[in-house]
Amino acid sequence: MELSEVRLTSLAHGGGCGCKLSPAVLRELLSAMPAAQAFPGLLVGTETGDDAAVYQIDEQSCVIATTDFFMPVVDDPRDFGRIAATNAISDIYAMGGRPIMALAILGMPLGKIAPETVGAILAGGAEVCASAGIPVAGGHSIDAPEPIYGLAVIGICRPDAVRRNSGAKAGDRLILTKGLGVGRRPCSTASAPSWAPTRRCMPSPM
Amino acid sequence: MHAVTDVTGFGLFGHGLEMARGSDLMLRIEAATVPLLGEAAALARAGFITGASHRNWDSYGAEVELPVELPEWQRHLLADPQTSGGLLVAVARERAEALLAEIQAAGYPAARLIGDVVAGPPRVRII
Repeated sequence: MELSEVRLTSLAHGGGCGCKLSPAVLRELLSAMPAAQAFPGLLVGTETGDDAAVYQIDEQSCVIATTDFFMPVVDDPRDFGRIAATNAISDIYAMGGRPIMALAILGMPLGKIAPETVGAILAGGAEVCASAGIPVAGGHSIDAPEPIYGLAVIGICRPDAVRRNSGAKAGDRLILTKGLGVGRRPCSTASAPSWAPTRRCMPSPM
Repeated sequence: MHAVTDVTGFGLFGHGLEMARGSDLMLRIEAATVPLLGEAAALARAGFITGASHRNWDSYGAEVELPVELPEWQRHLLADPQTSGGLLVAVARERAEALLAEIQAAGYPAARLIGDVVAGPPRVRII
């Protein structure tokens, strides 16, 4: 088979945010970390499981930093790049900030994936960054057993504009801005990721 | 807006729980109002469940209150990991309708009001 015909999702054991460690596993791993020194400027750190870190640098401004990367969730390399970049930048918006630049994070199984496929992933990510008005200002790439792509994104905001995940007030209403169900949505039967349907559901109680 | 979070790998339950714990309040979510992607409900009913929704549920299910009649497939969707998912926003009651209209007009027509924040233990309660 030509490298260019290899299905992107067939190179990964899992895809998208489904690759994340479970909350319980992550908590256990982080519990072994030494207690961090108190940094007065660090407005949002690891304590509240928020979307990004926020550091106040003076009275007027905060820096917001986040990173997100994962294995392919679709076979179209440009779409994979676009999804991964959108997912990464979203954390800046979720903190109330404005993204200013991104760094690419890339791991690719050299020899198993066509260079033009990798190029299309990067181009998809750069396209999303361009539409968000930010440059891909650098990055880091390694030869890895499975394809990985994502961004580290830097944003800014005023200290009074920070939106934590922890400021809800009694009486607030909740809005969800997109539909759920990405984990099980094949783009078409032909391109359904090989790992997508993992288990049959137990019979429903209804 | 009082609180915002990005709904990604831990699913709506998981990121909702982070908001509940951080705010020390209960999130009450009406399952029937939660927007779903076109084919998601049909696929979930047919038994297509992601491994990560099991892992998610195993790690935080004890902190989520479900109505006894909630079907298993619906619970799996609420724990389903979202790649590039939506934002979960807690907004003052009097501002909610206007903000929803603004979000929908900005290109997110699926956005919905899905519940509210109430005094109570820091958990997610599905109604």
